[in-house]
Amino acid sequence: MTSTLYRLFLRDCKHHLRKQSDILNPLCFFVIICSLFPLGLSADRELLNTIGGGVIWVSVLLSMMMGLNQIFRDDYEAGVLEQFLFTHTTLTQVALAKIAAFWCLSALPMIILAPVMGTAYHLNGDQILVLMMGLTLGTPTLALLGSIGAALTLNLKNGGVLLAILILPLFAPVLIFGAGMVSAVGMGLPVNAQLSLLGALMFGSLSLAPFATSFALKNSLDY
Amino acid sequence: MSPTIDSTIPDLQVINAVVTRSDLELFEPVSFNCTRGQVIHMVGQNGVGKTTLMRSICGFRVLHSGQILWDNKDIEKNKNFYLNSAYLGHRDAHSPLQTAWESLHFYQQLYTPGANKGDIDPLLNKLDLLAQADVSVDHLSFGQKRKLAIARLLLSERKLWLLDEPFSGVDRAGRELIENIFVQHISSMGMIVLTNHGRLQNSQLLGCVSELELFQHNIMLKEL
Repeated sequence: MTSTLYRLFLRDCKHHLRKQSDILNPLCFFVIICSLFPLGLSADRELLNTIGGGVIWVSVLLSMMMGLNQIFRDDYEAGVLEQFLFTHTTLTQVALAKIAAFWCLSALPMIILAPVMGTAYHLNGDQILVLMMGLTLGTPTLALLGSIGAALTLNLKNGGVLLAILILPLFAPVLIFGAGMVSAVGMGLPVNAQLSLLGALMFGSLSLAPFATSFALKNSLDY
Repeated sequence: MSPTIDSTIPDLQVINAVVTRSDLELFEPVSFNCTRGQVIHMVGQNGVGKTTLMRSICGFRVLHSGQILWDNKDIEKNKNFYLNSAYLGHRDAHSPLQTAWESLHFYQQLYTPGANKGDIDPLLNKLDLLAQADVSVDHLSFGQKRKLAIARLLLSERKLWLLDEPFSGVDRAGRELIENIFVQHISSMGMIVLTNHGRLQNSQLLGCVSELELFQHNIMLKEL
């Protein structure tokens, strides 16, 4: 089972790397949104430090939304998805591998870029550290929850907007804890509770979302 | 051709199957058995529901009424059915981001993990695709993609082939080649359910074909 998962994961990573717009578009989008806020508001140090965590988190959410729509679509449209039914591989494994590949190639680059963006918002060292920890724990939850929506909207022609409406509200808890953590640490408060909650959300969605996604994927084959 | 009966290979049974599309019953209830060494050729006019029936046999959609059995068990959640059959639909099921060889290698590992990847080149050669082995699937012609999909069927080593328009886009030589592959499959106790416009030409194949005609029905299920 592990080797199947790993093989599927490698295949998906390779696909993302061959279709570079999958990786570069959300990443550029992320950098641009982050850069627009200081331009539109002001270069005031205090203000930027206050909004920095929230802005970076929202940018991550929106950039991930962009890529989510694509995670199953290529295989669905090529007819590969339905072929998995005829193998030992379950759709749950397929979903898990795709979510992991999506996370590695869309969320991970953003986490790596986050300190650069953080510096632009005058976040201090602790805040940047907490921002990165929060993103590391939070983005898998976003990918997992988002995959349910992506699978549900798979057989719609223009599912992108519906996907956003369906999924963005579910991202709220992650956003609240993640962005809250950055401002809390700025005020010198402990962030253990938020970190634990983000971790709990991640494991909770990891244990439930792949099954929901595989069920939705199975349903999408009925056309 | 008189294949010896091997009792370990079960049959596909379709009993009084009715499929619907937006509350419209497409054709009169259909029943058939597909046993080893047999080809079921579904015919019927456009829109009569051949593809819809085929997708129901694959379990992608639920029948409105009737049953589809494999080894006397319903195919729903019947892993035994899925591991003995291979499906070729309208979509060739090859990712455009892979090369022809990579795509077959991917399926080989899914179907028979640990199989020898040296088997792929002879298979591509058999379907006249060896020169395209390292060409991205995206750059293959329509007919070549279809032939690549036939290569996938051979790779699967499954007994039951469910084929929706396998010849579409394939040239005459390719068609003869594919019919020969069907003959080999049938003579090695395989079974085929296929939809196809136009007649099959291979005389050996025709000896095993049962035609199944679907008749348009179009009855509304719900009176609103």
